[in-house]
Amino acid sequence: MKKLTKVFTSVVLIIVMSAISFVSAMANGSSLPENYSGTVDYLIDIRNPETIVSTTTNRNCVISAVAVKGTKVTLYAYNQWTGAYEVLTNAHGERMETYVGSSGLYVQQITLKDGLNSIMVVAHSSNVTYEVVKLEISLLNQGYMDNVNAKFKSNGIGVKDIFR
Amino acid sequence: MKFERMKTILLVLLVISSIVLTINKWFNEKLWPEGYNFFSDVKNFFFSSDDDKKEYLFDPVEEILKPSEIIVNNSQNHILYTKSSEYYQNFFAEIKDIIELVSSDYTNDKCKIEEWNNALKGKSYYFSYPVKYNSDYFFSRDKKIYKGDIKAVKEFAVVNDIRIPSLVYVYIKDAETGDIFKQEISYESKMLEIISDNSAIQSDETNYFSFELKFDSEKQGTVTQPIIIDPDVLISITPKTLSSITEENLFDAISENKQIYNSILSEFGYNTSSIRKYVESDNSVVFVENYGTLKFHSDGVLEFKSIDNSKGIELGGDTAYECLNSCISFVDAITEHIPFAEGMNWQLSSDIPDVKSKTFTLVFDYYVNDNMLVTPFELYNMKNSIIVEVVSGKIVKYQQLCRSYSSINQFVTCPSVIDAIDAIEQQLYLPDNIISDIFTAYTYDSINGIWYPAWYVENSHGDIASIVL
Repeated sequence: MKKLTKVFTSVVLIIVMSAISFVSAMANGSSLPENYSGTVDYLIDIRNPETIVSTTTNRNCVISAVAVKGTKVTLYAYNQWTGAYEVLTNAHGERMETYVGSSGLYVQQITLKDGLNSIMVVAHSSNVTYEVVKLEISLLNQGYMDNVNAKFKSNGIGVKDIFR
Repeated sequence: MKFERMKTILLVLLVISSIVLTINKWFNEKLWPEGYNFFSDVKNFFFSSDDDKKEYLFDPVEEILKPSEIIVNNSQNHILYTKSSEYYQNFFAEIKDIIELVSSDYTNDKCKIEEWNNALKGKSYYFSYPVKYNSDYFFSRDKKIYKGDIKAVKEFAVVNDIRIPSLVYVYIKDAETGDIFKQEISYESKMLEIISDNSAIQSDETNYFSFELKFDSEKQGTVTQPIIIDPDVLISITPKTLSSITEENLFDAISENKQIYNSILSEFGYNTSSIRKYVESDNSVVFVENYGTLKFHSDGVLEFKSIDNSKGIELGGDTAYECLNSCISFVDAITEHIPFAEGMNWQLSSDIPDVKSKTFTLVFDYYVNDNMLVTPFELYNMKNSIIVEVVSGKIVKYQQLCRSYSSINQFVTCPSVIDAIDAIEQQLYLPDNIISDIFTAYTYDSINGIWYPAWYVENSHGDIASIVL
């Protein structure tokens, strides 16, 4: 009976600790649920990529935008294992989080992984005023693209013509 | 009898020597320190030859046709090369050949701006100049006349054909009309291809053209874009660290620099042995000759002024094109006497107009480590390091800041371009909210006597201002 109480207490403690860590993670915004959505749509305009769904052969992808001065812009990437969006960090481990200045211009370069990259841009003005933009960027293999390009070129068509 | 003969010989020798000395006095300019030398002009009229003309080792055309920026593009990055960069000379050697080919076999085919943008996004080489060159000047070589439709050149791009290595496409953006001209030339460029691949791997820089970030125009959207950046402006999204510069005034202790001013005097055609000279209360030294005065200001400014526009220093050259080149060579000859520190050079800062007239003004600026030194405006109203006014083929006014600059072990980190733009006082510097260029340059701190690197912005009217962070 005493052993059962110990096991029960341990399980409860683990659940409580997990819940606390999850709540903390959500509170500082390092992870956001898949269905996270904004409350407004006037804080940020994404300029690059030009469309919500895009394809590239360049592993280094730049996200540019025009945003309202003072807006905090944070980038997240979808993690299929946790089923949540996790904040992106740079090479120094710092969050990709920027306050937009008086120019209203925003630029951030990210490194894409092979295949589909689900990126979420969160533009935050206050606790109740924030905009969310979700981008789907597919990274195509360069070697494969070169082969396709060569085949099409022999017929006088370039890959750029297809994706234009 | 013998004595009489000796006397005759002596008399003849005396007469001969007096004739020789008189001729020497009449025809030698050195013995005529004041006033008009009629005999010297007569001698020059009858006996002058091309051999008397000054020979310059410097090739002005080649020097000023060196682009200030060479950007190697591939799908991963845009790597910037400036004059002091490794590989720059290799690139320039090929560019010269390419310009030569374009000027001799031009076409007037135009293409859309999208093709130009695609060229810059893919594997290509982009070249830009700080000023606009009239196409007659840019393409004219060995007195060949350019007959194409391009009016002015400031930037162009070169793309290798992937399928045919010996084929190159040259895209030239007309700096007057904005039209893009496309020309196909046969040229095998192995060097460009090799460097492009290597540089992309080695670079730590991250740069994007404004058009890639879509900051070049106001787009439909919910947020108003406060600042527009011209499409071909390169935006660095990483900070850069540059060294500060210290300066030495060469005319501070002018008696110790006698060799420098003697050399400069002879470049201006002044005779150092017979010249009239006086020293002003501020220790500036003034030299006076027939047609003008040359002043060595004690704060390091050299200034020549002719008495009127019909006098001055004759530049030579049968055509306006040659006169312009002579003017640039003259500036180089003077600048040769200023002891430049390593990494220092000078570049043209005024557009080259149509080369039909021998009356023009050229301005130049000094560069240290490929960053311009922005001259303090209050100094004799000089907005540039060198200003030359030419009227009818004669230099009538010349101003040059004669100082030596060198890097010191004091570094300043300039933030990314976006951070710099955020600090711009828009109303003051950007009347129409358009940025034509943004670049790092040196700004003078008169309190400490040090030049610090800073971001500079150029507005659509061509005015530049430093960004105070």
